[in-house]
Amino acid sequence: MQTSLLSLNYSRADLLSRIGGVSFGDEVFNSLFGKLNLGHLVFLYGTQRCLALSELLCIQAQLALTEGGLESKAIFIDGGNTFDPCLIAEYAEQLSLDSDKVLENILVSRAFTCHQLTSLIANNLKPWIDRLNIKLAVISNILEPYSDPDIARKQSSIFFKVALNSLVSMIREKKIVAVVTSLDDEYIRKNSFFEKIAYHSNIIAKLEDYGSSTIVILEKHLANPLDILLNECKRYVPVTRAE
Amino acid sequence: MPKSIASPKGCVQSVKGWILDLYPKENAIVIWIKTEKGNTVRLLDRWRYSIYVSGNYSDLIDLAKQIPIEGVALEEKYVRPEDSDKSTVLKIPVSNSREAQELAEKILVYGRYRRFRLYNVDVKPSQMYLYEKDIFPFAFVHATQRSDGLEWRLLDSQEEVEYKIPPLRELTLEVKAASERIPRFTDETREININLGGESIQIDSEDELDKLMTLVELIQQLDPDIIYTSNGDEFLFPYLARRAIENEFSEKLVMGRERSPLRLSNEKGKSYVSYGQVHYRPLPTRLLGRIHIDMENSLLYCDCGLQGIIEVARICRIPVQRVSNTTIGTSMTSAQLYHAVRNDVLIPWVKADPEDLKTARELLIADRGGFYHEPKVGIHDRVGELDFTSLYPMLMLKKNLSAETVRCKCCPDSAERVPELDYNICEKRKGIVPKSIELLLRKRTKYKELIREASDPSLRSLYEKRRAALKWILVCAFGYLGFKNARFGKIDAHIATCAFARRTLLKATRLAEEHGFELVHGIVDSLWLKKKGATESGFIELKDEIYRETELPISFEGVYRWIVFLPSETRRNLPVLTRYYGVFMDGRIKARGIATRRHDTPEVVRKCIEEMLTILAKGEDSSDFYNRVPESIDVLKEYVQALKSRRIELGDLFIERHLSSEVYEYRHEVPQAIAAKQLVKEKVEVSAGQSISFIIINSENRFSKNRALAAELVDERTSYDVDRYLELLFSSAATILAPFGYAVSDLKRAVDIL
Repeated sequence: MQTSLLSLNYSRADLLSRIGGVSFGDEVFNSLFGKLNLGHLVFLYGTQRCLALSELLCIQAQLALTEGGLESKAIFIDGGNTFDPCLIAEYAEQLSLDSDKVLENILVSRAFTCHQLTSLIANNLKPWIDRLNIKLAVISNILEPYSDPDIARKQSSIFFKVALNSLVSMIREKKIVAVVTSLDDEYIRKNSFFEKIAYHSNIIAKLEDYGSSTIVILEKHLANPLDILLNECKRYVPVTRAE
Repeated sequence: MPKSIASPKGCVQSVKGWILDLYPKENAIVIWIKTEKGNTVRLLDRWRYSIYVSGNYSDLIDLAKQIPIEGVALEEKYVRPEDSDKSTVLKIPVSNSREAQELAEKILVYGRYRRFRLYNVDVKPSQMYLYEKDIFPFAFVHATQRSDGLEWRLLDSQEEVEYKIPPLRELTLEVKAASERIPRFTDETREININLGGESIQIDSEDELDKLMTLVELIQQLDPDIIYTSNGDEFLFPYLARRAIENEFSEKLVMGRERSPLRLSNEKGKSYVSYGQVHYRPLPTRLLGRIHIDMENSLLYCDCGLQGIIEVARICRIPVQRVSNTTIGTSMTSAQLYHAVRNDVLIPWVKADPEDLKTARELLIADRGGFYHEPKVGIHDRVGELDFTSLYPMLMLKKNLSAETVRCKCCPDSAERVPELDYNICEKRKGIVPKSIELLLRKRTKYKELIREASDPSLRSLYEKRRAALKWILVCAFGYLGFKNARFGKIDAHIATCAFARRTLLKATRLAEEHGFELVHGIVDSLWLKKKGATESGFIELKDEIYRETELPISFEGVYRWIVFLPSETRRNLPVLTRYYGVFMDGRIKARGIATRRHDTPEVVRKCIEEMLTILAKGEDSSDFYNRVPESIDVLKEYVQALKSRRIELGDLFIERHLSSEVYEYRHEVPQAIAAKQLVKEKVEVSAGQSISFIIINSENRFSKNRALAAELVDERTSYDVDRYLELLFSSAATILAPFGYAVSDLKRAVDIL
């Protein structure tokens, strides 16, 4: 296995432009999503599985370009205090990777209020991306802080707008893959934040639990429509993935 | 009788006494002073507070031009507590909290939510006044009216532990509505009862308007300083306000010392989450110039009485009225805000500084909480317990742990480092959090000494209440370091405190082991140790040794004759860290995590388990304990028979549970939801976080509404579900006897139910 974990020195920029994205490292997911392209916003929502999937991507990003990785560290901005380093270490071990090294290459910051999350996205993320040459940023559980009943709706809406606009322009400018996740519940589905993220997203997928399996519903894919449509046609029945 | 001297224009020149109450009034603060003669004097101080704006200098100048308010000026302040230099900020005087809030929002919009940051916006004006003038509620002061406002001379000290409280006129108010079952706002008033110093007055005239008029007259005449109610915030005062509207008396329903009448607010109480549990706080009723204490809704009053409330008000500089009806965290925050204001540090309106970026590996090491050592399930003889006193606040103070000091930018190479994480701790300044808890810790120690020395039981009780109130604040101080809305908290400081605590407990454990002790159980700040032949003095020697090595106060709680560590209810081989019971050598029983400690245990179960423990507690050691188990099961048998023959009083069957969500959000028909729905049907307002009391009437009934009954609807015809209560009883008994091979089925067999 040609695993990079950021140790290879060949011309990364050249390869990146050719390869252009990160894959899930899983046959079913790869066939459904293709690669998550640089410059794209991916929105995963649904059950806890979407949070876990975004953590898995933080490992994938560290792999060699030839293995579907980005040879990049990952930034994980945690809006729901759900980041689980033990789970990452477990994934890493399943992939025969050095878990310590994998954990070192994921940079985490937790936001507990919508003001903190806005500040992280709008003020801190860009300098971090520049300084650490990051190619994958995960904003986990993005909607939770903005749904805080203690914050006036008008205020949280404006802060959300500031954060989302900053994120979208940064993705385009810095050519990174940004994965945004949100747990799905009635309240979150009802609010307009959900629609706003969906509007800006290149890929939207919903993850549902089905017994011990997960159903992935691809709701939008603007990356390689033709290929993906072909794939999706093959798997039009919601994909059930064994644990 | 001493009187209230109202001087709305502030004509009193000079007055000496205690600060009873204060509140803002348009461009001024009203302060009520209780004099040594027992009179109450109203003072008015022309004073405005200010909000502050930080941002780019030219943006501030531009903003200043847009604000047509007198007194707008540039000032130098610390915008962050960690800043080494002051920044230029815009000061904008405001008249009241609403104006501050509205103006702040407009400024944010004007700056497109990016150009400006706002400060001191939501600090209560009364608190800001106390901080600025460096005075505190119930302080003994001398106030003099000068041409430019009041001049304050403090004749008291927050350090004082034997301070004098003026004699207060305390009145209890009770209002009964003319309803058979649940009182509603639409019910007429049946009677009003007033109790002042043991003397009762009943107002029960025929006409409702007459009753209201008499009440107002009596309140003015008796002029109480404190009015106690049961559920005054939730029901009594809103009810009176509503009845006043019905009787066209609302403009005259004056209950405070100001002439402003009591209003019926359209606002609702607040449901909030604390430590994963939903709580409810009704909208408080404020009586201007008097102190209203709702005995049902004041957690601090329930635990520490008026003395505890006054202690907190004095030490945290927050009006007594607010202390009684707000969270402990709000009071503790006030102590921090005082230190910020006195040090020219601005108080951020919103907390926007996020956690420092760290690697996932660092997070794995850092975010581990407190120390714990799992106990071995079962009974242990002669175990001694050592507890660190206020360990976390003590570490925060001694190690200078605060948002601005942990990983500060000014001393990256500081010698003070956080164990395991190697974070630097500031050496140049003392943090706001340690500053704010220093006095609390000092006073708590003093009260502890006074309690030990006091021979007068009433004096001892007074000190105990004050000490208990301080303990509440200190417990909260650590949690607030990691609380999302804490103004001067930061998760890194929270993590650092846990790291120091883990190191302390490990160090203490090593010392104990070096002295031949075995660690039986350890959690957060307590250690349970045993050693063959160890005497009390052996434990005390160890305690002293740990104190010398750690420099942190530690107490010896005693030696247990025996202690039982209990298993998980679902996995019997796994211990639960906080579930145990035991008896000290002097006969004191200590229990945690069992039915006697749970708030939702019905009285019948609580009594049974307590009696079972009392019998077991007679056991001198584990073998004696075993001999007494059958006798304890006999107690269970008596309760089983009492339940089966329906000899239990209905009041002993009530179960109280919190509503974890709004009534309409419940998807499962749990008993508290059923009871809440019944109350809603009776037009009672029920909110998430409220406690609902109910009785189980038929848990298997196919119609969920018939399974439980709200306590308010219970009457003499109510029948209870014997089987369900038996299950609760057996399950609680099985919990305490689980390590000895008793499951529910064994107990049922033992009492001949199977």
